[in-house]
Amino acid sequence: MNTEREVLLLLDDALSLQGRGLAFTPDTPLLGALPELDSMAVLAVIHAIEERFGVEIPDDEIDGSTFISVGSLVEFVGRIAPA
Amino acid sequence: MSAHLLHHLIEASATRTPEAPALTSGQETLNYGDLADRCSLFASAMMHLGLGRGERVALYLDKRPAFVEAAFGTAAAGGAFVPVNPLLKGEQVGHILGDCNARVLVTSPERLPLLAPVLAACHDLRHVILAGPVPAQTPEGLTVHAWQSLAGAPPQAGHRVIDGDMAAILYTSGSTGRPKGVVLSHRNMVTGARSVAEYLGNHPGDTLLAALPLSFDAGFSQLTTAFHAGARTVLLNYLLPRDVVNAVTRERVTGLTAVPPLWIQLAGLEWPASVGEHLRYLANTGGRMPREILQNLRTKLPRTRPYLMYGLTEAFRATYLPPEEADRRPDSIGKAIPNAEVLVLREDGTECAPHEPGELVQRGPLVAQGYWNDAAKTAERFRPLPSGVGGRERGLVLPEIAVYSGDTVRRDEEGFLYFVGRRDEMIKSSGYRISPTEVEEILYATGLVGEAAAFGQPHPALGEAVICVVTPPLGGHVDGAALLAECRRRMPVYMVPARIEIQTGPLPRNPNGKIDRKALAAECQPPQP
Repeated sequence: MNTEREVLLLLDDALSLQGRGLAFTPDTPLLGALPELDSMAVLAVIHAIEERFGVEIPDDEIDGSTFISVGSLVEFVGRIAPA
Repeated sequence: MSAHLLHHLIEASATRTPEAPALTSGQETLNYGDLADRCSLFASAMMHLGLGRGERVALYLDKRPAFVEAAFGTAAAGGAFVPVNPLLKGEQVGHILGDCNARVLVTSPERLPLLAPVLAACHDLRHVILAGPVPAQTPEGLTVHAWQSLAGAPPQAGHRVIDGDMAAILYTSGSTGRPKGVVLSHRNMVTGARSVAEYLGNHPGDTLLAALPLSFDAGFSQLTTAFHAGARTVLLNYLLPRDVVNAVTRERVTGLTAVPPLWIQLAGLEWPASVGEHLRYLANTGGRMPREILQNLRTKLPRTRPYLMYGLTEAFRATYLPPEEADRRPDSIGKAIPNAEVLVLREDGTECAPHEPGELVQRGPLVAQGYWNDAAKTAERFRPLPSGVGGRERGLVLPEIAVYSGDTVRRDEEGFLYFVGRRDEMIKSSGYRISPTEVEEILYATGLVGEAAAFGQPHPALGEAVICVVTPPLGGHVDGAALLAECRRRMPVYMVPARIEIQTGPLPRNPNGKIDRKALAAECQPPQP
């Protein structure tokens, strides 16, 4: 399974999007666009990425700009968790 | 020009300094001249769509220039805007749209599908304006407009309004039931902006960070105070507390207002030393700042002056503690802000003696216009002030409406006020009234917890038992036995928690970012007798 698909599944689950997230594309905006993505939920997403990809994300490696869009998040995951 | 209507705040600054920066969002900065033009454009578009005087325009959007243009443009058209918290879900948004009988909805293409199931029930809604392109499928019975199409509306003046007319409805969650809409007049908002800008000393060189939601009075107030002063506002949709520190540093922010849960997170981060060169003040609102957190922030930001504020949406702001008093009385909420009078009243309407707890009652031009379409709830909170209290002379015959806050406070001999608790959140245990904030303050003071919340739960013997939920301090864990021992050492017996629950992550927030005691209480099982 490719990284983008993995990220969509993970987002859909961590944010309880009930399938909505599976239709997202790299251009889909995240930050400010999803009522489900707030300062609490983002921690669940980060935790899910760490669990799924077996990595530890240092606090200073990640900020709001990582979550601008699906594309920026996929790019980040690809960088910290090389296939 | 002198500003007496909300949109005049932008127009007056645009007349004085059209080239001065007004609004920054990401890479984009609008100056006052451009912002005023864009607001006029939105106002013309509303007139073109037939918006009537006082009709509601709901805004369900994250922070971006379009939000600001729509809010102030609606006011300029003579309508009333309704900022909806962008974290609310479709069903809650539907309730607000229906409750305020919104005529126009401003939202984004991404959010529109979430509202599809609820829009059909919003009978007064006619138009949707999308900040972005219009999708192929749009809800039936509504005309959907792209933001760009607004530019085609011919310039048109708004309805004639006076400063007593409504300018906005802010929805606020109460202790029970659905959120209520607090109606604010132009005068409420303009007076509030002047009052706050006066004591914060806001000036054209200021840059304020809008980190709080704009649907929250203290969040929206960043815009009004900055526009009044001709200063710049930076809009920030933050996810991680680090985003706030980064924005403060990058934009050389001079004033930062936040709520206690955000301050707790910010106090745990490293702040670059350069922040001290520009961050003039920090302001706390929406709950008491724990003393340890204030101390921590002051150590990290020694040149930044702390303003501790208190206010209700129903009367904008009520009090503030001047920074020079923060060391002497860090527990105080201070004194009334300019142009507001704050009274401490007994149940019978007479004024309390020094140190006698009573209800905080506010009078003056900041008192809101009641709850939208809810006479019963309005009558509970907005009540005539008895004769002879405060500045109200006995000979006056017309009723004056004041806000009865529901908060218990006391006043010392020098006139400084102290928050005791919210009347409906006070814990009644073994005959004592216990303030949850006091319990939380002691938990924070132990240094053994990260976040803390206290609330009461029914208990057969005690009436209510004190329950606490805490999270570990930064990089540590909670030693439950040690924490309980510290509580026993620091608290009177009746205050000691019957149970302390430990959770890992941050505690749940309500949409305004405050720790949600009610949600925690609902999750917790009643204690065993």
